[in-house]
Amino acid sequence: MKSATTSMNLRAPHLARKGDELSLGFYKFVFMTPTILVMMLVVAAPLLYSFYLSLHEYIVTYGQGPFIGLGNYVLLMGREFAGVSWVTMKLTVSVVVIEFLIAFSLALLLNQSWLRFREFYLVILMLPMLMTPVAVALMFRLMFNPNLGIINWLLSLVGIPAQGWFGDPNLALATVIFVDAWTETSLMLIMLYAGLRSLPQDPVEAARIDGANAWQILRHVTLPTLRPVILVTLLIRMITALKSYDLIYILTQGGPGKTTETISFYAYRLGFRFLDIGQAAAVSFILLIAVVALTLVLLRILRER
Amino acid sequence: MSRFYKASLLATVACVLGATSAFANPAEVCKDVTLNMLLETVPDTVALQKVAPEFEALSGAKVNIEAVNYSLMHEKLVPSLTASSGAYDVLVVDSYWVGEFVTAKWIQPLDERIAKDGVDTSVYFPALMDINGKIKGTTYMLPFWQYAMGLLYRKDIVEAPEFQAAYKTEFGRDWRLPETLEEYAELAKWAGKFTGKAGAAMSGQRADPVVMEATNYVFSLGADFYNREDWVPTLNSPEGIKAVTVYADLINNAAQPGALGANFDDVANALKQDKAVFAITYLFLMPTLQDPKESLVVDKIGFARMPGEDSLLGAWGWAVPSNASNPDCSWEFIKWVESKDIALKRGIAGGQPTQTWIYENADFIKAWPAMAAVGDALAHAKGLPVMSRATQLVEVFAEVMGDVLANGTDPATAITNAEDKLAALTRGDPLLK
Repeated sequence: MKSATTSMNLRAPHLARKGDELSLGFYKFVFMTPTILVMMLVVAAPLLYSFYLSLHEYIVTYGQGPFIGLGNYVLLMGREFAGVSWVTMKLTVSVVVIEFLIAFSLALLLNQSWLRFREFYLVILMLPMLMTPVAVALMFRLMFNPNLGIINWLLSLVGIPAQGWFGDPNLALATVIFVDAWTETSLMLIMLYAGLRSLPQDPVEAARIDGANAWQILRHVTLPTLRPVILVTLLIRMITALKSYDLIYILTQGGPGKTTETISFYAYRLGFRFLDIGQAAAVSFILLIAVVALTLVLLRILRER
Repeated sequence: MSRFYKASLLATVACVLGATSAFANPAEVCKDVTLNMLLETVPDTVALQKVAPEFEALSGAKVNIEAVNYSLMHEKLVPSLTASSGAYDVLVVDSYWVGEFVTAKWIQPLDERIAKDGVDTSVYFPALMDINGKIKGTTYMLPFWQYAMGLLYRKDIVEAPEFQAAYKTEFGRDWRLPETLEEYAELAKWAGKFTGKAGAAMSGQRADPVVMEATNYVFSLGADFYNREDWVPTLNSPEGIKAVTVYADLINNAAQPGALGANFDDVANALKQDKAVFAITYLFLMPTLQDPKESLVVDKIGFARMPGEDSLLGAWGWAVPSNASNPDCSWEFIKWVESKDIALKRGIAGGQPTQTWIYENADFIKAWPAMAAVGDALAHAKGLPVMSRATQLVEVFAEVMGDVLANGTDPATAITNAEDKLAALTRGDPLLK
């Protein structure tokens, strides 16, 4: 009897656990289903539909045309797409490098123990991130206005002639990069500063006791321990830079010529100006593949961390 | 009752009935309706906003005007027009969107409504009805406002004796407004150097600004984008290449700094701030140039027609979208806004009328003397081809101009490179058959 009771006592919790697991699984399924359905509806369905469109000839004015396989992708493999890809690459590399150098320097400065009013500086430095890109772009468009803007006026005070800025093929991309750096550096700064604050102080103290100077501590202690944070920050910024659109739209419309036309703006132009939805979808998919590849790298780094 | 009185009475009754049918109780179809419309931020929109409350009082409808920058309009309209029920109840359609909107069946034919309500379309400039009214024999729009383009110039500068004396020394003739494009180019370059200002305020921004401006150069030299009979691209002609060459020369040697990033607002600002002598641009800028609150050149700007053969003619037209929720009320609004007294009011408030008789109206000409030259400008102007993909023609020509202006590509090469794209735009177009 005892053994039977024991056995029952032993089995009952087991059965109960199994029942719990079943009901837990059931509840998981019930609670997850609406989310999955909504995600399928708002993410997967449009994505699949746009892939479907990218395989068709579809000019809005004429309506949807026939299935053309990879025809839209093949059409893109020309000088034009190469040009916008090159601009996107120049823009991405420039903004990521410039913004990282500025953000990392500022983060190191903010992390100094002797610095007073740190929070105040942090709030000020975060302000560009809090502004909408469109407002920032309009503000800079006015400031860089060749005839009425304050920048040319300031330059004129020291005898420098008026520059065309967004209207000068040699300066337009550099001016866009400047505006982008002003806007987006804050995000990198916050991430890097948070990383620095979370680093253990013991290795730094140990290095200091061993006689390392500030540069040696930065190079041999801070940078290696901060490496994963730096990589994540760089990748996130690279992904957003690859998709640059809003600043370009307001500041230059991709011009002069195509000197500031990015892949995203090219996709917009194909879709909304040429009304060629098939080709616009194809460009978007190529960009998506690049972004997904970078995201996979990011996820791998996060896993390794 | 004598026959005369009977006839008078009948005529009066007929007039009253006619007037009643012309404004067939807007209140019956518009009561509590909200009419949404998308317009560009231009003087005509301001003029419309001034009179719109009259329609609200007459009909009981609410007129909701959304005014945005031109570059936003097409991309806001297209998604709305492709939906089963649209966001806009009354459309204003730019002349080079017309073919696209008609082919895609986004706007309703108006002939039945026009016939039923006895709307007189003969009051409009025929050239405007051709580009913003009738397409292949069917009326889809009533012209709302025209954007005639031509030469704006600083009267005070060119009429100054020292300017005219220097002009005579430079060119060996008495002062005259330029008669050809080449003459204009030489004058603008010289005037810039002589005055220390920009010889020409120009708008080289992609896509619409540069195309609207440079097309004047193309038409001025007698070139065109297509042969309008067989729709073969014709821009690659000596005249077409020369037009692009002259434009590039002026951008490099006469325009204000940053002209490659400038739109027509920047052109207006350069003129208003006394920074330019000439501009080939829109006459509709005149009200802002005459506004003492923002302009240093009030009463100093003159208008002449484009030197050479033709200028670019553009206009906006009123249309009822196919997916309008209350098309009867939309039509009542269009009918009202184009009625004679409202059209005149809009003109006096700074609009650019499309009805011929307004340009002979004393009150209008007194308010806007420069408008007296519009008739001449319209007589020497033509629109972009009415084709289903005219919007894309603008993009392709903008690519040509960008290639020349930003990359320094030779105009002949840039135009040759675009020929396939130009040819593809007309292929299979039902409007061109």
